Amino acid sequence: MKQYTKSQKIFYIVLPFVLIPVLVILGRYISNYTHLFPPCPSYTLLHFSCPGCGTTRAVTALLHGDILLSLRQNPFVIIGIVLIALVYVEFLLKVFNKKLPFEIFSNMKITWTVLIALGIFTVMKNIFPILAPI
Amino acid sequence: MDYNQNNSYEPQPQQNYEPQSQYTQPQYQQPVDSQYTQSQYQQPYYPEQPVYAVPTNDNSKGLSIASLVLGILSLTCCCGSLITSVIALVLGIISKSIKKENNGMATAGIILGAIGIVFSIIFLMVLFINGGVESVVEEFYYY
Repeated sequence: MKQYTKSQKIFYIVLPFVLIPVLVILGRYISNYTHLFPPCPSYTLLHFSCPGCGTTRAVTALLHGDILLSLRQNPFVIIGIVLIALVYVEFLLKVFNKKLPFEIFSNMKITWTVLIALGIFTVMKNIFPILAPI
Repeated sequence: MDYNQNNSYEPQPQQNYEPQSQYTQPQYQQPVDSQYTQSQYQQPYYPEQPVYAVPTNDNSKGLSIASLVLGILSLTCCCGSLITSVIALVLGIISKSIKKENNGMATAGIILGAIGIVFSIIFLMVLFINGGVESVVEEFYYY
């Protein structure tokens, strides 16, 4: 078990509180210029929604505080953020030599569930246009 | 005379067993000898355990994680990107050749990389048939 020094522990605790506001401010500034981004090639050429269609719109809605709209555009953005937060919590507990009752980082059950759900959602998005991003 | 000949048949199957036992013994003695010479420097002397050398090459975990992440990125962020799909596939194959079992992440990376390669090849073919990027670039307002 690797031992972390006290300054490293303080750094890992303070890090999300510094990083998240910086990213939110940067994101809100960038979201004014998203119409200049290159388009999704699979939608413009093949008229087929890829699994990531609507991610930019979902992140923009989330940065402006609208969680329901981001769920409507692409629900896997919220799932991804929740998973990243859980992995970071597990890492933080590992720094303090504690453990969660279940592992998250290399858990293949969670990975396969999310990936299969992503595949099924992609197919459904193309069949029923009501599930597609606005 | 006949009785002597019958006696001569009996020890022969017994003689056949002896060279087999002679073959097993030097195989068992050799690791004990080499361990005895090495133990003078490093290890305590365990006289009855042959050395099972397991190669500990733990690069497979990082490679499999990278393969999985690149595979997911190739599908969701840049749908139909040749570079990330190929790298995901290659890293997954390398990781699977190092550690063959219990490597679910490498399997997922290989599958996602393969789907990404198929996507990107279809996309490149459609682009090539329609006459290049310039003829398509007018109509992008989907983001």
